[in-house]
Amino acid sequence: MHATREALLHRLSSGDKELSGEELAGSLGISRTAVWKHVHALQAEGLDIRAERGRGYRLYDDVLVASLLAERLAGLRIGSRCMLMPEVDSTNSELMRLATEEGGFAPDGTVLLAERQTRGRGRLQRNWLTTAQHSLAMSVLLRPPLAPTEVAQLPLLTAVAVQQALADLGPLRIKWPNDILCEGRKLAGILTEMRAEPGAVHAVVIGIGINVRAPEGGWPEALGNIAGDLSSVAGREVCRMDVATAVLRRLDALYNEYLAHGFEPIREAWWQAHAACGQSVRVHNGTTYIDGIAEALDTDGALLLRTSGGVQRIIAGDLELREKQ
Amino acid sequence: MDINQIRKLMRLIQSSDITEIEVTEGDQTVRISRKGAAPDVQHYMMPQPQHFSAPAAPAPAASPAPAAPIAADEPLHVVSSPMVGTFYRASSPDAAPFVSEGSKVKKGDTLCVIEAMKLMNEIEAEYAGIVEKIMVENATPLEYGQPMFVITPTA
Repeated sequence: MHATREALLHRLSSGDKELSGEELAGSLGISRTAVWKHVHALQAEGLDIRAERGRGYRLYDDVLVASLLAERLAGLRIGSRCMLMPEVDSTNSELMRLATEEGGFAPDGTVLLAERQTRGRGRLQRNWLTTAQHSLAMSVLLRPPLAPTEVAQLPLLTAVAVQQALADLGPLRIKWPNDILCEGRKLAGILTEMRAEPGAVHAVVIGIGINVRAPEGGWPEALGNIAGDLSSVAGREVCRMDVATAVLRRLDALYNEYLAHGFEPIREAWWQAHAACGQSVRVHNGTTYIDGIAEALDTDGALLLRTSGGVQRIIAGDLELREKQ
Repeated sequence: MDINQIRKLMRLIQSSDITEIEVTEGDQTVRISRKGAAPDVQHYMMPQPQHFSAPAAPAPAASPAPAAPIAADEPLHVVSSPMVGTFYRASSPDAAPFVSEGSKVKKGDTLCVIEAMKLMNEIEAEYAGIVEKIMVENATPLEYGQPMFVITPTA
């Protein structure tokens, strides 16, 4: 985006009240006429910026601004670089390219946000719907000093970060390994991807998709009973920038705690937030269904399932809750 | 023994449960042992070869045979799993497999995906070659260090 327009949006998104043309002109180092022209250009792009006579300009849209996010995450590992793209195939794919392709420059802690994903995806290439203004699609790049086996705990850690960061909005629960649910509906999904060779992890990209509002005209029929959104849960309009900031700050804190103290504290927090502790679940592991009771989270993050044939360790699969929440 | 071969040996030992390996080629012996995380390499010359890792191979006489393939060469062509997880031959249940037996691969081509706790680890070929054998069934569990592919390098 045009640097001045980005700076203008940054200023307009920072406060809750109107900003006068004069204030904006002063802080951006441009003339009032130039402010007016840039506001017009942004309005032409579809943004809801209103001018109130005698008071100034106010932004009514929930806009993502990379520089504002970087400012809110200043000093943290996560957010050391923040990027926003209007449209990508998938923030995970794009960030992995930026991290690993020839000349891959993206540093540890890079955050990539996108307004729209044309091929947003979940586990096993399932589709993930991201619509502008309603969804938050972001990916975080880490270059952790960990073995591949330990990296498998980061998806669970990320689920705890999302659940804790947004707990004030509603009774959020985690479904193994890292779905975020509220009253049985999925509000957020996490997909983590890694490039590694034995003994060396090159890049870990954690993709977080959060439904902040329901799409205009409602969810597609197939998602009607299974998808939910934060604004509906909270009973008020939730702002995407606030969600992104809260989640990434919490993720940064938990990741630092994990590097310092290991998985144990995270594991306990995860189990506290799990939707199916001691409950009956069914897992599809890619070949068969396994029924059992979700008994515990193993020390490495695997789900321990008590079945008729003893305790089974689940390391990959789809978990289905069998009891009403 | 050249540095690339030593590097391959180090990778092999890191991806397996082996804690020590000794390979003799001609009059040179390399012993790599793992103490903790990082492999420890000792590279030394011996006046007379004393160890041969392949008992079947006849000991070379006075003249060393540097061109002969070393016995430990075989396992180097095995691609092993860097982690416990579930093995997938394709990106989704409906997609075509990344590779099949007989496939030619380039360095960097995707061979498979390993999943653990919804962490998807895409395994790439580290060298160009031909996939001789796929040793794991799709959507089945893998142990740490378990062999997944035999890939013969193309020169």
